[in-house]
This record gives sequence, C-alpha cells and structure tokens, in this order.
Amino acid sequence: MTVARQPAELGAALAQTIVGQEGVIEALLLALLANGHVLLEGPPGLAKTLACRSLAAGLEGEFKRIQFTPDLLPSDIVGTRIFDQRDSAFATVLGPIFANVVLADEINRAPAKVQSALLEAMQERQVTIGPQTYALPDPFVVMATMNPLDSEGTYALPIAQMDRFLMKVNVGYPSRAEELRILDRFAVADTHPVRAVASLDDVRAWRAAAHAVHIDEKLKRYIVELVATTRQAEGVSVQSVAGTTFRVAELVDYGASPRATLAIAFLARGRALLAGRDFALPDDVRAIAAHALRHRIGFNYRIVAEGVDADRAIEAIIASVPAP
Amino acid sequence: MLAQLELLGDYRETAARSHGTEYRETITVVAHTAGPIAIAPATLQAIDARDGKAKEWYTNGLTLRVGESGSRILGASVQIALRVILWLLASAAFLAVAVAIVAAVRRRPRALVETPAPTPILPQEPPRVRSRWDVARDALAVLRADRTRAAAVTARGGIWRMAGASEGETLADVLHRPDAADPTMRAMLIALERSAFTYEEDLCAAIDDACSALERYLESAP
Repeated sequence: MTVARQPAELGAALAQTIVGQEGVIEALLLALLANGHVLLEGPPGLAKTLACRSLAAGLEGEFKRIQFTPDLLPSDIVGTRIFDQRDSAFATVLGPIFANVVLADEINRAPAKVQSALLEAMQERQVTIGPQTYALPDPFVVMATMNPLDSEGTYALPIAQMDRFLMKVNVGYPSRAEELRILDRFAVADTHPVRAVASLDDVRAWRAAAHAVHIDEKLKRYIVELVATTRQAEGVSVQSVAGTTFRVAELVDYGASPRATLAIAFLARGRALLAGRDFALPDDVRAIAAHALRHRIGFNYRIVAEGVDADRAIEAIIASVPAP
Repeated sequence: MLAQLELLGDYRETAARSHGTEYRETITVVAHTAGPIAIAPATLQAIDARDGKAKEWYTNGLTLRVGESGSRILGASVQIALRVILWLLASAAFLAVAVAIVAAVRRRPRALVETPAPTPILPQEPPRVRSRWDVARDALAVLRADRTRAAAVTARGGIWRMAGASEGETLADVLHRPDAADPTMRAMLIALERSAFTYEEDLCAAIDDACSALERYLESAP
C-alpha cells in the first residue's frame, strides 16, 4: 500500500502548533481518514479553533468558521440567492459551509432549523440553493463544538442528529507541564503556523488506503458485541462519584445504533493507518470505541441524579467485552 | 509356566487341617519333544492378612531335560518334572495356608469377596513445570506445522498466557505487563498479533515473522 505522504506526518505538523491535545489531533485525522465529522465538547480556550485552522493549513485546504448564534439562519450557512440589479437576475452566493474544514462553533446555540441545515449538508455532502444543487468540496470535514459549561439559551442537539457525527471527543484541560509549554510557545506574537505537509489529493489517497485496511472476522464480531452490549448491559456495573455501584442497564434508555458499528470500524481502520498498519487490531477498536459511542447512547436522568460519569459507564461497557 | 508341555489333567483339593486350610493342586503333563524344557517360576498373589497389603510370592525357575532313549527315560523325566511341579505348587499352597493361619490368629475376619488384582501404586511424579521456553518452542512447532490463521491464533493464545495475560486483554494491555519488558518478548507478541489479525495475502509473511521472533526468543534462553 503506497501513500504519497503519511497521515502521521500531518499529525506531527499539527503537534508542532498545538500543545498537548493529542486526542483532538488524532480525532481530526481520524475524521479526515474516515470521511466523517467530529463533535468536540469542552470549555472555551482549549485550542479547538486553532486545531481546526491548523488542520486546514496543513492540507492546503480552505478553512471556514461559523459562530452559531440564536439568530442565525440556514441561509447564513449554506448560502442564498440575491437579486443582481445590473444583470436583472438572481445570483447565488455560496455560504461558509463551502470549505474543506468547517468549524461550527457552539453548534448548540443555534435553533433546530439551522442545526438541521448543517447536519443535512454534512450527511448529503451537497447543498441545494434555489433550483440548483451544489456539491460540497472534497474532503469536507465539519468540526462542531459544544460548550458544556454555559447551557443557558442553548438548543440541545437531539441524539438522532448527533448520530450523524462520526465521533464525539471530550476536550480536557492541559496538564501543568503542557500549560508551561503553551506559555513558552505563545509568548511571542508568531505562533508558528502549520506549514502545508499534504495536499487534498493526499487526503483522498489516505482515505482510499484507510478503506482498504483489513478488519478480521474476529474483530468484526468484537465490534458488533461492543455495540450490542450498549443495548443490553445487564451484567455491567459502574461506580458513582460517591462510590455507589449501579447497573449500567438501569442508567441507559437506549443503546447505540448500527451507525456506531460502522463508525467504530471506520475509526479503527483510520487508527491502523495512522500507526502504519494495513490491518486493524483489537487495540484500535478499544482506543476509539468511546469516541464512537459517547454521543450515541441515551442515558436517563438517573445518571445525573446518582452522580455517575457517563464516560465511566461507557468505559465499563467497553471493558466488559473481552477482546479477541 | 508350562510351555512346551501338554497338560493332561488338573486336580485341586482343599482340606481343613488342624493348622489351617490346605490347598493342593496336582497337574499331569507330558513332553512330546526331547531337550531342555524351562518352567517359569510359580507365583502366588494374595493379600497378606498380617498387614492387609497385596503381595506376591514365587519360587525359583526350573529346567527339565527330556531324553530321547525310550519311553522309560521319558517316563522318568516326566515323573521328575511332575514332582518338581508338585513341589512348587505345594510350596505355594503352604504360603497361602500360612497367610490364612495368621489371619485366623489375628481374628480379623474378612469378607470372602473376589478382589481384582491390585494395581501397584507407584509414587506419582510431580507434574513438570513448563518453562517459558517450552511454551515458545510449542508455539513455534505449531506455526511450523500448520501455517494457518487458526494455528497463529493458537500460538498467540499460548504466548499471551505465558506473558500472564488474562482472557480478553489486548496487545497494549499485555505490553504493559512486566513480563513483556524483554525486547525479544515484545517483538514476539507484536509479530504474533499481526499473524492473528492481518489479511490473508500477508498471512504467510506474518507467520514467517512470528517464527523468526519465536526463534530469537528461544535463542535468548539462558
């Protein structure tokens, strides 16, 4: 399998600019390889925007950022038709969604109609403005962010909508050592922008290579078992913050959809390719399973009431399924 | 015991005597060929009532020489042979009687049930502890004998357990174990993982790599 430049090189270039946040960098690369979209959840100021901008720069691709607000309209995203008086005809103005890397900042601040327009474009990879349908550029990756701290005046994304994101990544605070490095690196005005290390053609070649990564039958059964366990987690238990043990099945309203099965397989293939392999391992599945399941499992009110961390419950589900 | 001799009759009698029960067996044989005839030792297997253990008594072997010079010599030889045999059987009977007497003296009546021939109980050797090298050698033998995915999975399982991994652990888990700190061990684990999960076209090369890694590990044996 020959790839012009390795995707890991792009990751290394991103790491030159973004301190820590290896999880975010890997998620961006995996989304690129799996041709999917990423939902990033974390407090402000954690370099989410910088990461997306750097990804586009590293690919020689176009980057657009859309700040979602309550008064945003679908046409503000996809584009609109305006009447040109000189030509006495309607002209189409394409919206900011026409870019290779789109950052949908605080997606939950816009009403459902706008969210729906974005998610439809993500799914169909095309936009219809007036009578004309326009294909979105290829590659096309949406990184949507959600701020978990400030939930007033937000419109929570329904699970069915969130299912369209390939993965959801929780962005955490950097460690003290990483924060010191941030301080050193960004002390001067020049922030060392990412140089282009790959082209959009390279990305398409990587995607083809990722698609060809082998997944053994044992691994496929493991993935199916993982997703099935999210729906029937009778034997799985998790501890709350207070140390009380709960059965995960009591905390789950509904498990992950078959789209999660596909997402885990795509992501495992991408991770294998990042590691320079053309076959996936159980480690690949286990490493990315939480990203694919996190936003696809419907937890009930008890998980909040009892003080159970949803991520710990997901980890318990993953740990309960023996790897092949 | 009586090979080369034709058995013509077998007479057994049991008689109660003052010193115990006497058992006597008389057999009549004839030799049809001249020359030496070896008679194997007579044996008696019985439970010794004195200590309740299975024991075996036996006499010495005997060689008869059957001459060619006529029926008289032959008859004399047969008579000698018969006497010797009778003497052997009488000795055996005497031993049996002695055992019965001891049992009677000790007044330990035993049920007269036919017991199967006791199996000699040999002291069991403790199971040999298989070393890491044994496990690696077995895995190598499995892969060399059968270059299939199933064999690769079997070999991987053996090495996984050898490294102390429990069911359901992944390669990353195993590599974190202290047992996997050795570089040759790590290389072996990684190569076996590849052979278990790679695609069919790469399987032969992966098994070759795994065999090489196993050989290097075996070469590092102290």
